[in-house]
Amino acid sequence: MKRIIGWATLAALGTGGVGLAADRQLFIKSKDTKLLKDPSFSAKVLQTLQPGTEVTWKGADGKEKTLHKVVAGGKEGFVLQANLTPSKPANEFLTGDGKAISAQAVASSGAATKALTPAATKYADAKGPSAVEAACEIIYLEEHNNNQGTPEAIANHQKVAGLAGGAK
Amino acid sequence: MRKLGLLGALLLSSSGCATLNAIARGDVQGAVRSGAHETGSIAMAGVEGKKESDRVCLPMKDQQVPLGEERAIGGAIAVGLTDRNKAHFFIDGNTEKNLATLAAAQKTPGKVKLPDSERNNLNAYLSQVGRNLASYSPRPEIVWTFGVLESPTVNAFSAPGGYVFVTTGLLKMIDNEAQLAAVLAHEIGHISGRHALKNYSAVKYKQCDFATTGGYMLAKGLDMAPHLRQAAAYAKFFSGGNFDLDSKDMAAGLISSLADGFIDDFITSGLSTPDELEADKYAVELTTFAGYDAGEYEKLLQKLPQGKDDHHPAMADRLKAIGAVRADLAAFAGKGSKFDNSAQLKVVKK
Repeated sequence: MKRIIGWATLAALGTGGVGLAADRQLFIKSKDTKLLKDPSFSAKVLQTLQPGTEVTWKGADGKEKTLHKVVAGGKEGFVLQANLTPSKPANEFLTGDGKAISAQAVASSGAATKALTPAATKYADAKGPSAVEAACEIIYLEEHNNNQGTPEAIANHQKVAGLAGGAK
Repeated sequence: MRKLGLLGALLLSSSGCATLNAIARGDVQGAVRSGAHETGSIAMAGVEGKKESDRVCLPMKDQQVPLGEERAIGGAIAVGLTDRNKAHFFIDGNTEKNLATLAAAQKTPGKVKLPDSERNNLNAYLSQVGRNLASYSPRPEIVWTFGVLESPTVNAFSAPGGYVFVTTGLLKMIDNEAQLAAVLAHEIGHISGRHALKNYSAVKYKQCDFATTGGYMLAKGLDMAPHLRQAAAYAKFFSGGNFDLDSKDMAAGLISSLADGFIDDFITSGLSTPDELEADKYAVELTTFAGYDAGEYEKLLQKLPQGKDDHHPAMADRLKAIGAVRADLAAFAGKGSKFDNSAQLKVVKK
């Protein structure tokens, strides 16, 4: 175990301008992600990328390590790591007919947006008072989290905790 | 085997009227003759019923569960698991305990609200950490519901559709936010990979098979035991290709059969080893890209008690696989935050 981690650390130190596992496929996670011409936050914006866009990763920049070289739609540029994800956006299915919609389209569809759907509350009612109490608690919890877990609160926490999304 | 078991149960519980009448008259030979004839009829109906079941139910096996159905059954499972564990959420406030009254109150914005308190702030903190991680997952746009359960058991679990719960027992063992993030990311991984939906689809298929075969036999005028008649009454919900758990007409008994069937199966078997390892992979990927030190996941795992009924793969196998993913993502590891969250967790560590 120690040997594997040791090797990983060495590999990270030795990457320089190009990552070891270059040409990995990554995806844009944030809206209006800037594709920068150079590895500098003040560089010219070549293109604005949207969530779900597939990019080919070429490696982290040697100096500005939070900026990664990628190729998006034939254009090579740099993207902030916080705007990248290894996860390919999943297709969501709103009905059983096999017609998929994108993850992004789910948000505007209004599908399954409640803390508990009618089926879950019907289930709780059928089970009895303790299940009803659990259901009520989940509903309160979700209302509370929607009020306190806003995108602004999350962005603020990213900064406080020194996370990727809190970077400039 | 399962098919024979189902048919057998249906056949054994079916009894023809002519045979019963013959027995009532004391006509033994007549009863034997009628019985043989009726058993043959029942068997024929059973075979035809099975064909109907295959037509209706087999496509469900491979069909991806739609998001609405996933959230519906996930919510029921979340309620059922909480109830089954006799647990309460770690929240403060004089909360309403009637669903109809609560639903009416929800129509007034701001009326359903928890007060400002350490416990409630802990849930909000968990939600902020979890939602940030979920934004790196393949399913960033579904509704993610995070919560703390008051229980000494060291555990975290998820239900389909975006429900992720962590016990106070587990939170007591957390040293920093990177460890908490890894736990949440593991559960987010299960939901992203739709792992539990495989178990749900198997339970749903079984229910559909039972209901449709039984429903066909019932429609042919064959009498059955009351519980089988009840199961057969659910056949109409599976036919027609529009299975909707949230419809007004949906039987509470069928929702319970599906949710409780899932929970029983989940408690007995857990998720598969490949799915657990994939959730570990998600844990490393999501925490790394979110800016955490993913090495903290390994530290936490080695601290956790290994229960007899733990369905996870062997710890050595998990650590080896996690180490390999970390090595692969070394270029993205950066500084790796180990944010000190002792202030947020103080309320559980008192």
